[in-house]
Amino acid sequence: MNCQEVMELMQRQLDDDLDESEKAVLMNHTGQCPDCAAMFERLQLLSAELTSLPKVMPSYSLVDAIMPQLERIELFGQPETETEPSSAVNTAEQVSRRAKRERRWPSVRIMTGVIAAGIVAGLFLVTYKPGMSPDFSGAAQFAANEAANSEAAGTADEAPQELSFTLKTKENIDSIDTPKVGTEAVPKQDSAEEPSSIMNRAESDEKAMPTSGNSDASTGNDKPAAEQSEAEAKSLADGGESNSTEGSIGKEDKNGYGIAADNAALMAPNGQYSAQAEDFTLKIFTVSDQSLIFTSPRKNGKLMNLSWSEDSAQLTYEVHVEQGAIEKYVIDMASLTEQKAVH
Amino acid sequence: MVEPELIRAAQSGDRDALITLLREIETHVYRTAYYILNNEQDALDAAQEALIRIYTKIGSYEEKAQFKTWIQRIVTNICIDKFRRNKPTVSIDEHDMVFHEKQNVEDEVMSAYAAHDIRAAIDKLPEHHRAVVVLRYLQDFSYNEIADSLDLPLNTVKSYLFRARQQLQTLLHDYQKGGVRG
Repeated sequence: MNCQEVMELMQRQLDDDLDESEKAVLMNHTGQCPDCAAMFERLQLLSAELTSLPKVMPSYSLVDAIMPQLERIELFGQPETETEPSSAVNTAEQVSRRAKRERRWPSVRIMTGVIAAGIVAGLFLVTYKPGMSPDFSGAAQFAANEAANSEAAGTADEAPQELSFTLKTKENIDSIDTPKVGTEAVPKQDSAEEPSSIMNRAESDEKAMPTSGNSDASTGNDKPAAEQSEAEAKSLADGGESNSTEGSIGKEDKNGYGIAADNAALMAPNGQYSAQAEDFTLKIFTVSDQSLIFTSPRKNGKLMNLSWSEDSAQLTYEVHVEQGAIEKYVIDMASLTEQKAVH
Repeated sequence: MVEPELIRAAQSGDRDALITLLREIETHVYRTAYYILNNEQDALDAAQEALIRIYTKIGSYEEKAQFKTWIQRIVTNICIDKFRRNKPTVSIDEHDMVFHEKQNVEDEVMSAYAAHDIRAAIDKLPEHHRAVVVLRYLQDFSYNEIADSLDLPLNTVKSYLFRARQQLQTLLHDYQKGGVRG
């Protein structure tokens, strides 16, 4: 029997686990092997010391200490198993642990904030554009239908107004979205987006208002309004692309009339005529019976910036030909003749 | 030893019997916690937690197991969880304290030093080895009772206990060579 095997016998002897024959083997070996004898002595000393470890008692009655918790359990049933017994030190530990956790938090909070902002901005981008556009064209079509219905009914100024509003809003959305997609920094998008969309909304409100004023002026006959809305619906159906509206805004603000879309009808201030740019020609209708009273010669450029004089005696418009040249024309309503304006 | 009648009364809903039972076992529960956690405050917390758990789970005790191994299983589980959570912060401080005292306080009673040495040595054992030693020497449990309490195979209990004693012996032998003990 080697010393390693004797070691197990020593260990078991400490626990009174040896029978008589095993004890004899152990004694036999330790009698001949001083190393094992010394080891056995030390182990016996250790075991005696372990046995004589102080039989500690709690410094207060634990059952009394937990009695309030036990009563709560009686009243409210099972406690949370993880409930820590209340004690000053423990609470202090928990507080410090919590404090440690909170110290780590700010960076996490910032990160989650940034991520959340990114997600919100991303959702906004994704849902705003494709989500809203179909809605708007749908609304435009609905409005157009209603306008057509109102032709028969002879009332309802509101549908065209709504249509022009929705049309404008859509244009604005397009114009917002296009530059936004290219922008890379998320926070930038956020900050750039908010004011511009507000501004655009304000603009479209402004533009919508004169239209309703116009409709009021044409009381008793809503045909032009209906046509106007049809024209707008057409422009939407043509792909919803807004024809450039730059420049027209200033004029509209000046005379307070008009619709930004260039091939939409523009009502004269006196409510008798409506002018419309259509396929490189300008047409003027009477509001009363929708008859075509003037058609301009075909122009080789885009007709833009239709504008009535305040007394409704003249209609001016611009033809934007290639290479950025602009020709200006004036139509005299009294003679229904067109002249190239002198710059 | 807790009377089986008291356990049955407590299990059948006699709240006074249950409180009496808890009073009888609280010292045993605390002692195990004290030597596993090597810290009085942690031991008080763990023992209270164990008593509350015994109070709420008394209905799940089955008589085929020994009651004393059942309660020791509860308290050792709580202590080992707690020990794992506290280990990095607590044990280092404890070691510092022990060695500090050893170097500077020469007139202390020798047996107290021995207890300190043994506690410091126990504190160096892995958690399950420590629990085996505590149940063997503080609860006077047999191999089988330790195996039941810790839900370990009998051979594993023996192996843990033997290795733990060997390691403790080595540690204490080093302390003795250092001339601290007579």
